[in-house]
Amino acid sequence: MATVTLRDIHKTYVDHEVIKGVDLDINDQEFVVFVGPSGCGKSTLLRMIAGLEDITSGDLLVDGERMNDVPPDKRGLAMVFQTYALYPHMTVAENMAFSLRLAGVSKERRMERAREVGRILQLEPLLDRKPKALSGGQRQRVAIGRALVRNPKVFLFDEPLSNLDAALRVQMRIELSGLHESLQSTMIYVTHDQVEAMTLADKIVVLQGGVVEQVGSPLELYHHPRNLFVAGFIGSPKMNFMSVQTVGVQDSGTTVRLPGDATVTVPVQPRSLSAGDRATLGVRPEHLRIDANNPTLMGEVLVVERLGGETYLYVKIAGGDTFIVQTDGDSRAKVRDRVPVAIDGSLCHLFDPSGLAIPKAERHHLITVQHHPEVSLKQTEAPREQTYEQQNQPHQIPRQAE
Amino acid sequence: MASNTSTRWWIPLLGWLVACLLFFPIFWMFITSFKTEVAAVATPPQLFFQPTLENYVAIQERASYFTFAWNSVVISLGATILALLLAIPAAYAMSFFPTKGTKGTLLWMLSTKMLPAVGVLVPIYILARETGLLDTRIGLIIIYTLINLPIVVWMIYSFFKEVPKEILEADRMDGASTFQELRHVLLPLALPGIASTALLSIILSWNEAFWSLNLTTFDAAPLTAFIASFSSPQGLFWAKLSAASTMAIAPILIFGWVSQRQLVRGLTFGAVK
Repeated sequence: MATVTLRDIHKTYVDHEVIKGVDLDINDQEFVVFVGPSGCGKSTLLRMIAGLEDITSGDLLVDGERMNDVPPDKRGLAMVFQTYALYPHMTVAENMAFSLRLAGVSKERRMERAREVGRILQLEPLLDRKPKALSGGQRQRVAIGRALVRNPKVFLFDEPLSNLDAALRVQMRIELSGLHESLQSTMIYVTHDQVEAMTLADKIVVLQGGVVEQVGSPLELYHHPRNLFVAGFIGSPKMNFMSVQTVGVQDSGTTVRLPGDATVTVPVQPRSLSAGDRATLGVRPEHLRIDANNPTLMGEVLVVERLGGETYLYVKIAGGDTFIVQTDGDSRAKVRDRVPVAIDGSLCHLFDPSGLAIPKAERHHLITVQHHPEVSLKQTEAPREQTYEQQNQPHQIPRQAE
Repeated sequence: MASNTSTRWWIPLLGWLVACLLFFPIFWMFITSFKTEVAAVATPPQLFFQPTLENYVAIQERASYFTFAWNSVVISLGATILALLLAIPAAYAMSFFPTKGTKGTLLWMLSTKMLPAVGVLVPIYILARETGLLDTRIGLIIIYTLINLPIVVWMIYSFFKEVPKEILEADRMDGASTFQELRHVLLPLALPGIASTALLSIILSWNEAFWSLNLTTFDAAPLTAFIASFSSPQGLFWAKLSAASTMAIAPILIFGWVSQRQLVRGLTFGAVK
């Protein structure tokens, strides 16, 4: 059992506040990923949990016990650093067993434990090498091994894969996922890589400017972003936005008028918007279609990016905005073509003038499916309803029922 | 590449030229020590001559080389060890727990080197006399430690700065105390740097002349005093002076040559990335 709880955590450097009140509940065995743009405070938050940075105010609890003033090694956590931070003068085995050596464990016991962990991570033939004789992926594995040896309650990862090349990153990602499956321990992971966040996480925490923008499962963030920032941050290429006018609000959805007079009905709850209000319509590139039979609006192709399997069209639409349209790899569209773009209202998102999403009328059907159903079913169902209720309160994240 | 090698031919030549220029006085001192006093001052200078050991014999008769040499060894090593003991904690604090005043403190320490030593000769002489440290090894060790401390702190500070911060954070996560961190992680990583700092401190202490001449008479006099004793009022005896100087610098020269490898070896490679 290991839960991590953050209560109104603040961090101030001299006169500059970098973490502005974070509340977060991390459940046992959960894989939580902090994402956000550079400088959003995600690494600082992780380092505060680790004990490498002081907590200016607020409470950090591990298994319900306040850890603010407990030294890093007494918190029962282990950290894997972006740069691996291996001890260059020690062998792989010594690196992994260093914490045991400091704790006064006998040499035989230490080496036995190092061999055991080496076996799990397939490092056995390398145990006597120094870090400089290892490849990047092997060093990363040693860094993970060093964390593993300590049998921590919680693993902390600070952008662990960003120094690896693309192919190795994919491989390590899968290994990490497998490691989480087999260890069943709580993991907190910081990354700026969306793919890592989406594929690894049970729960993603989106941070911006020291504030939690949204907490939720990957699909929840994808299908039900809470505001413009999360909508634009999650998903690649990023969501298209256009300014629209509300023309009608019904129980079944809200109808908005696009530049160029077309209308779209988005199935959202009848909430803050009323007829005549300005709003922002968001639609993902993969949800737009080139459809001559049923076009919502016409646009001119500015750029064509062919990735082979798919094609991205940068289309200038009425009103001057540029939309990215994801279409199939065989698309014949050329630069300067006029193309009919079809927008399916049921796949769109609507945001009020303050940038908050108008909650959708229905939840996406896949959202209850998670990596660890046995954990998530009992612990994340209830708060999900709260998430819904709280969606119009800016900068607050749902608290788990305690 | 071809144009590179053909246009850069003068660089090794320049290197050799500078090396020869630097080496020449030592070379000349060395051969002069084997000349007779007459040959030593002959014009034009003689490059080929009948070598003799009479200067070395004369020196041994007049003064006990080994007494002076032992003083030099004790004082240089003592001052270096003391300086390292003080500088390592200071540099540790300044490298890894800097405050607003750290840069200022470092500059201030260096600025003490700008003061001409003779400016504080009288107060220090009086202090040494009052505390009974005049003509003692301890007295010189304390003085040399204080003289070299700014440079030693600066050097160790910069070597510590090169140790990646994450490695120290990793050992703190692993449960290392401050002392364990120094002992098991920082010192092994900074060892080449600390070794070169120690070497420099030994060389500076070995060659220091101003304080050793002013604060010692015989009991604690190091080799610099030994050399100076050969520039006598009756005139300079070049050959004997050269022999004394050769004997004085030989140990430190051999020491530097042997420890060369340690100075250039880098250990942190492979720690990150």
